[in-house]
Amino acid sequence: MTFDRRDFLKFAAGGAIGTLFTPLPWKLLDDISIWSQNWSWIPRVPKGNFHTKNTVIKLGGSAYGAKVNFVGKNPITVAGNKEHPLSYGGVDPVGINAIALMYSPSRVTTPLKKDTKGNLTKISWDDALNILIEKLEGASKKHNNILFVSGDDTSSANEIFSALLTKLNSTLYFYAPSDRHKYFVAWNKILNGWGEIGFDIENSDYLLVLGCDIFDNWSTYVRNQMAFGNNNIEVDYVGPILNHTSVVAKHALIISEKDLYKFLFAVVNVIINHLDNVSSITGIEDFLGSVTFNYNPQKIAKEIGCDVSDIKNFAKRLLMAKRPLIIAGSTIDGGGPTKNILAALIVNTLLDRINKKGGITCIPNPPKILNNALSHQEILNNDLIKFIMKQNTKNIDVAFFYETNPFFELPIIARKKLQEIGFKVCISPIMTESCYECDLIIPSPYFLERLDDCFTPFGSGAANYSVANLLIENKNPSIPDFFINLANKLKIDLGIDSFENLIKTKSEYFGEKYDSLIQGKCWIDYTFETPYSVKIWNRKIENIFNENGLKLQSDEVEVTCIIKRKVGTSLTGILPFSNNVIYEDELPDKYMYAHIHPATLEKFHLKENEKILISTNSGQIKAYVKEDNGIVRDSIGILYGMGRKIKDKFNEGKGENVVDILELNREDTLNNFYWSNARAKLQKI
Amino acid sequence: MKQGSSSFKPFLFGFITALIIGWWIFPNIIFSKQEQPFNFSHKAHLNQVGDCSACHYFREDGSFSGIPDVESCASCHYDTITGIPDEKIFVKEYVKKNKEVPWKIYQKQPDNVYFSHIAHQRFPCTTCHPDVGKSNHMPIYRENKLTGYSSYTMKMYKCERCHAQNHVSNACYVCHK
Amino acid sequence: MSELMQIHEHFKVRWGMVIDIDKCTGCGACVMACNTENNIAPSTDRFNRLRTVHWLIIYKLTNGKTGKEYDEAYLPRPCMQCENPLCASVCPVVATTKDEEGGIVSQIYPRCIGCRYCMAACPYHARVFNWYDPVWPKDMEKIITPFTSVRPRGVVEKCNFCHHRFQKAKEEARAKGQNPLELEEDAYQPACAEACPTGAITFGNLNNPKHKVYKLSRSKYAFRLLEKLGTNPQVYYISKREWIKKVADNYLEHQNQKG
Repeated sequence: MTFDRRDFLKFAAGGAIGTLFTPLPWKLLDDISIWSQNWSWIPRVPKGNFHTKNTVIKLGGSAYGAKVNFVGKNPITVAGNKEHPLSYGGVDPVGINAIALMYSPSRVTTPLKKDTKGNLTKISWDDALNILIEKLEGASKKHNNILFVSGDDTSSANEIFSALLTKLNSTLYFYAPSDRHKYFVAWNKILNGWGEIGFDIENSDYLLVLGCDIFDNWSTYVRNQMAFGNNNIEVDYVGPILNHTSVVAKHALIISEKDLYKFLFAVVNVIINHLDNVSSITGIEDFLGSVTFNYNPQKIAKEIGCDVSDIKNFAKRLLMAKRPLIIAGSTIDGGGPTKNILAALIVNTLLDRINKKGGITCIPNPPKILNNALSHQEILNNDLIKFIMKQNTKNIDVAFFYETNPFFELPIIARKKLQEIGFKVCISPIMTESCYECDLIIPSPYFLERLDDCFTPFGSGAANYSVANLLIENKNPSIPDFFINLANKLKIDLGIDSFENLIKTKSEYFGEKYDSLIQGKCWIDYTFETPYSVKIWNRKIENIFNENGLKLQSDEVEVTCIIKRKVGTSLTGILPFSNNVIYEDELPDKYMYAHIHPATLEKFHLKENEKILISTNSGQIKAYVKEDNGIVRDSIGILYGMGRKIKDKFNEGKGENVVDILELNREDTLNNFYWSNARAKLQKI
Repeated sequence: MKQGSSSFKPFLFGFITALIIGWWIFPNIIFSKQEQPFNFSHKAHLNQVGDCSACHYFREDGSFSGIPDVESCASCHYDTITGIPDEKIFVKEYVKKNKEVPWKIYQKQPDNVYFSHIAHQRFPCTTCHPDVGKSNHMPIYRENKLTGYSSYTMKMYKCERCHAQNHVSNACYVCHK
Repeated sequence: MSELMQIHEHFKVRWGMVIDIDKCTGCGACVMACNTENNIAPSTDRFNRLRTVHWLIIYKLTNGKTGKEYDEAYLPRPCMQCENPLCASVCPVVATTKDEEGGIVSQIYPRCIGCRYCMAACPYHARVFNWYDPVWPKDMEKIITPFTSVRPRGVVEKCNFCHHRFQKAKEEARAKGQNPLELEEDAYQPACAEACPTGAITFGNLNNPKHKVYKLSRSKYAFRLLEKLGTNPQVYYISKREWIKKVADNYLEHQNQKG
């Protein structure tokens, strides 16, 4: 039999038709379509048991209780904890990013040492321990030769660190600068008050907010927002720039940060005849005399650039409120003048709002378990900026920076002073700017990777205590335990064998079960100190207010920071999901926007979207001009938290650091520093 | 016209060859046969625990536990109890190393499919799953080389047909996520 | 016109959202909660409205005035889940429909051919196209949730009111022997509503008088975006400020309101 071309065609035709009677073509088509839906490089979703555990979120923002959702062993999302008095079910952007941050490409995973050439090399934990032993043994021979800055002012870890420091012959233990410190100075040192200031926002019916953004980044901002949302509180805002507080405020007024106290005293001037029961306050007559004489609304309105009717309006609303509360703070936490805070505390006292429902609360100081540790008050009494600006930091041999990032958030002059310290150790979860400046870097466990506790974050209405449990596997030791080990190696007895036992002892002190605390319960206590000895006015206080703030030349503008928590904190860097929510009208390009009032634009002959160079004595940054009616005149507003030197794709090429152009100014009478603004010159480029 | 009678043969030959390829060779090529990591006897376990729901149960929130994780298994098999080779593999490779067993799932569905076991509670499990309860051996797992899914994996048309027959909505979001 | 457009059935359950603009601080927690919940990859590039994937976006509104009259507000915008979804009517492959009890407009990613007709049709810009494959940095893939499938390059996606939470709530109701279509308000809340720290976002069944949204959506301060188009969104906004209402319907200066 021959097989010719024709037969072959017949065979092919038979094959083709036969194929149609088999599943082959149909199955293949179906499979190809399914194949094209499951590319290997598209991640698969996990499977497993969905369950929830309680924790506390810290991460550089304000601490609050939260719930973490797990699938199998992996944490996936974060939600608020309705039972926690600092969350009420709310969360903030940092908390939502907390899990992603644990897997950040910039995590510090092993101890790193800087060699002589300035390169970082990985070393073992034992090597790190030995380096520290050697350095500390040498440094402790001299008094006050070791400095420790802690970025976490709520943790019991401070007790371990400060106890070790005391034993090493040094009391140079500081919290990173924050308004908590400014409140301590104003309330406990100047006004002679007792306890620590808190705000009973939940029970207030009227908040007058001066300068700070209590609904985005200042004090217990998650709880503040929840309290506002749940309780029908009216809010008024006065400050240099509209923010996340002003946007929900009934009335908002734009006034420069340096003039906020003047505005408040002018308001007092208006209501002076309506004040009851003030005769018992020490210094009241001098104060009222000074207000009547110096803070006449007409004069002040002219000075600070508002209408007399504004002052009268705010005065009326303050008078009408049943439970008013005045909250003042810095635009950039810890960086503002103390004056405004002092003024707010005076007026709260004047309105009899101390330890009253919906007023200012005086929270008792936290207990101290370790004998050698510094108390919370003693630490607050140490002012880092004041200290480094006065001392020759070259004489200090060792410095520790625990979960703080001074080389990003402090003005350049302060950074330079810190740089001069002989040997610097940075303890940080993320390779921040400060890590690159330090000689030894120790990785700090993060969020779910560690056991940690939290006593009364600044701004809480009452004393509270919660504990975050270790919820996922962690290879690295916890930092407090590492320091206990270090103390043991240095033959120092701190009086505690593990951080866990310290927290257990503390729980006992509060009469709360450790087991229920690690499961998310929050201890809360409504007893307050009674400050008998508050003195609202004297010659010194008068002098503080008579000092002039920043004086602008005609060709200068004032720099104001725009702070948004969704950008991240100085410790976290730009959050993994930040770039999904920092919109084009906030960050257009590698360069940022300089928000300028239209009148100021005209004065400097600038137009929108022009590129300008902003220079101060500290440095300069470039920005695009953006017309903004929500900012005080003769001022530029720049987004804070950008321009990171953290080396990952989330942070690189995103703006410039506004702190680089901020200057350190001094309040002479108080001998306090502030840096929330600077005088800058603008130049079109 | 002489060749008229033989002219049909090549066609028939081609037709039959195609049928053989399509029905017999192709399925054997497209599906790979795979063994489970080790043999698991449902029958032996059922004798011990008495009820399927000891391991395959509904959680409090209504979700279905599916295949138990190593932690659950280890509550009995924290160490070898019977000494069977398969158990030794399990204890040595997974319990001691705290690693999940990479079971091959016969009814594996894509990520975009949502299936609620509790909504289908009234049907016997074997409507969709292979009947493994009374067997000492796991069925052979046949994986589609192209798609990566099991040969058991239910197709969308089957889901839809059953929904339609039972007057249940066939809206997209009933089954997709 | 709107009667002609009502091609869809009426649902017993209509999931809806009421957003109180006067309570929104614009903090961004809702957007980030949405991203982590729904497997939207963290972007390493700066935000680009046409390229970055977002299901929920916050617009900053200003009233255009100067001096003391100047006012601003934040407006979070999820998918409106319109009763007459313009996107669904144009989809050539039926990848997006509004056919399920609850009234959530579905989006089936493997079915989508990426023609973006729906994006052109949606007057709210609620739909986004995946211009790139989603990338989580190494290790960070662990935060991928089981709730939604990961979308590849080339498909359109949008907010679905965290539909998986609806499914979960139904499962839970079944486990408790309750009717899965008569859910309590707390049983089903999308991630944004859960995260909102001021409680500006309220969520529930618009048809159920026991749910807060029932009353809120019928408040005299309630309005919807571009109401004159007749899309009948299931997302309502509340504000006592008149200018916000005006911005929401995009009236031109010479137009009369509620023509």
